[in-house]
Amino acid sequence: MEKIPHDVSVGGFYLSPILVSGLLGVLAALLTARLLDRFRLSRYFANPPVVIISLSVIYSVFFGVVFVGI
Amino acid sequence: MVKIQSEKALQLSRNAKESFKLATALVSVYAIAMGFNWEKPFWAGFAVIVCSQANLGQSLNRAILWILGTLFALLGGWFIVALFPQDRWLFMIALSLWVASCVYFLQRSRYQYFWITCGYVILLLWDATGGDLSISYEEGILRVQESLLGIVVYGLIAVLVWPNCSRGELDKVSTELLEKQRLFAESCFNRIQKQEKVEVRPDKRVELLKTDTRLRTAIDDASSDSYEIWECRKQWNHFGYRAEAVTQSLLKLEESLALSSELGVSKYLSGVSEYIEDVQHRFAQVKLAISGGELADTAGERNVQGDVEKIKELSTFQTAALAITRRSLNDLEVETRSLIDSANDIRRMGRSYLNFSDEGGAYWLGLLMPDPDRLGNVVRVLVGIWIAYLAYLFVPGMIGGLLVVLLITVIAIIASVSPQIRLFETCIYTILVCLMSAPLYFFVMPKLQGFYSLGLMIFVWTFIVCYFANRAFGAQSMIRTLVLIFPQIIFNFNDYQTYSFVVYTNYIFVLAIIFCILAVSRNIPFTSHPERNFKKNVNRLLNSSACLILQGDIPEAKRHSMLYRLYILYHINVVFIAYKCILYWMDGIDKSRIKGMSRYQMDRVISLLMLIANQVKILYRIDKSKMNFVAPKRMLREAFIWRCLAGKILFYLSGKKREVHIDSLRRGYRRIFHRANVDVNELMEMGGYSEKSREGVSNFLYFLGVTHCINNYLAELFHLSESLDWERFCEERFL
Repeated sequence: MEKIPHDVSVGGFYLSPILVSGLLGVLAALLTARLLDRFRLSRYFANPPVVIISLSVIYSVFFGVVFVGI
Repeated sequence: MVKIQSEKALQLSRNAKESFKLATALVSVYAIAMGFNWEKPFWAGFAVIVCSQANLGQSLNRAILWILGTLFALLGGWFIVALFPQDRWLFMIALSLWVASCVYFLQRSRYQYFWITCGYVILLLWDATGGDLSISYEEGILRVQESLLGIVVYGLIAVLVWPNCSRGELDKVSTELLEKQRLFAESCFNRIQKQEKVEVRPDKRVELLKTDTRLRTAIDDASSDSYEIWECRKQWNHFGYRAEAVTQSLLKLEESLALSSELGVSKYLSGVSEYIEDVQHRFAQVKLAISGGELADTAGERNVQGDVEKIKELSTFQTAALAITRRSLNDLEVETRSLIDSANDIRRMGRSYLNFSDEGGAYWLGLLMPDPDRLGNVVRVLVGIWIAYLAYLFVPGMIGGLLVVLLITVIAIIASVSPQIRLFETCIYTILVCLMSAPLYFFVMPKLQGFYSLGLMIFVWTFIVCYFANRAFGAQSMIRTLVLIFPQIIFNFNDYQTYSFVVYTNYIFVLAIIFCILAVSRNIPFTSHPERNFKKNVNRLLNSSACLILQGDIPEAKRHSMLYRLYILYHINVVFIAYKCILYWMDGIDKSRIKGMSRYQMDRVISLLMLIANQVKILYRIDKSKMNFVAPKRMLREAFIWRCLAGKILFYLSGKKREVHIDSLRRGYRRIFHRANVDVNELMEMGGYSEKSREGVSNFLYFLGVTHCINNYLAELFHLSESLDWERFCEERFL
């Protein structure tokens, strides 16, 4: 299901695929972090900021490869 | 009426005026720098943004420290280059040592901005020369020249356009502090006269301490922007120290009255009514001297004495409580007398400050003493710099290159002064403002015809960003500085303007990389989570209190060793700065999301810790040799056992289990009250023998009073801490 790399058009503005997947990745990481906080799972991580960064990278790659195409 | 209203509506707010001044200064420096065809006019703009502060005094202070810091960093940079011209690693290690010492000193220094500038200017020059291990003379001079331009332009605008002098603020704060002290004393005295119970009021105490801090800042600011204050700055500084001493005496008085007020202090101490009248008159006189410009009446010495025959009827605890109240009243008398002298000194340029040569001692002690929090921040800055530098060396084509190293140093150094700031929030706001600058950079700037239109754009942009940043975060916040600086880096105004989408996106990525590296470095060597650091400081205070209490029985021979003295100085420093450190981390805690305890419980813990710290300071100062002169062995043994038990409980509360079984500790804890209950009647008899034995008895009773206070506070803290879930409180959170 890999997509062909292409710019994403938002209302006539062409955005690079890496920007879109990066943005989606950060939003997904923030949502996950919020959920982990909600269920008190964040206490199991030694360095939460690094976890957010890592989650952002993982999600960005995932969205990039599966949905956007990078 | 309508006219007045319309006039008021036309008046600009202080925020709008300050934003206008900053925008005008920025446009002017760019016009001058670009007019002279200087490279990197951004440096002048940078100086303007950093110098723009809440008032004229602060701005001028920063300007002076900025230029001194730049010169010092230049010399340091050339020295390091001269030492290690050919070795990249030695050069970098020397640079790291330089930055580390700057970061270490800046955290407790009065001249923070000097150290901040010293720390990063050296990297800025290194970056400007492409990191080729040479800091060129020309680059250095250009940097000084442009910084001076920024400082002079902003200084002139700040002085000439709507000057916001600190003199008014100084008058206001000093009068406010004196009034608060008077009211505080009056409420204590009223309770004494009515024999009502005095309760410690944490809110009033914090208010007094905060006003004290404001007075110190106002004196510093006004010394810079008012010639009158500059001329008598030593007198004003002395007044600041004396006012602080009066505040401390008032706090001690309240603590002691919490134990003794119900007894009817005036029954057992002679001349209390005259004393009260005299001290109230002194407060009124000082206020008159400061606000009215008249000389205050000089006060005579007054000493409150106890009625020995009547005191013999009292129990040990009551006698001790009375002893501590008497000492507090006499301390307050001495301090108010010095306050009058200091206020008169301001009017007649007196020199009574020469009698207080140790006034700045605590400052130097704090500056040089090892402090784990400060060392932690040094490590954070160094880790950030080294990650960025190694990435620059070993990651091929790294975005930003040396700029990342430089910006990480700047942000990490600023963050080390305010580690409670939320990095994520700062990052989001900075990126948001950079994104907002995109339409200007891509669509407006290329169409501008000349400097007039460019100047208009700079003015409007700066005014809007500054106005909203001031409103949202305050004039001195780090976010405000960053949201003003980063777009300037992106715009990069110069005579040969280029526009590139790649450059713009690179800057955004650079910003993201910087915050990622900072996120990693902020948790090394230990977390910068405010709740955890709050608890860590609480533990440190309790631990140091325990050490100071226990050291009362250390043999005389051991006391003379250098290591022992350093050990004691370290703990004294921790107890002295505890209040600031704990409040500092408390500011970073999100009050709506506290877990494991309520807001009220947290405030109560802080207030109890402050009370314990105050009493430990008093206990440490009690002259033990005089006490040992009169007290029989049995009493000294009781005092020794009390010290051990109190130390154990404090260690336990500070989280050090030390193989202590909780039940045995609880038994010991109940015993602690009975231990202090020694028979003092025979001691009172000894008081009449000689002057030395009188002082000894007075000291021993004072010691008992202080132990009584510590017992009460410990009891409350012990019960309170059993109902708190510290583990839940310190839990890590992502957002």
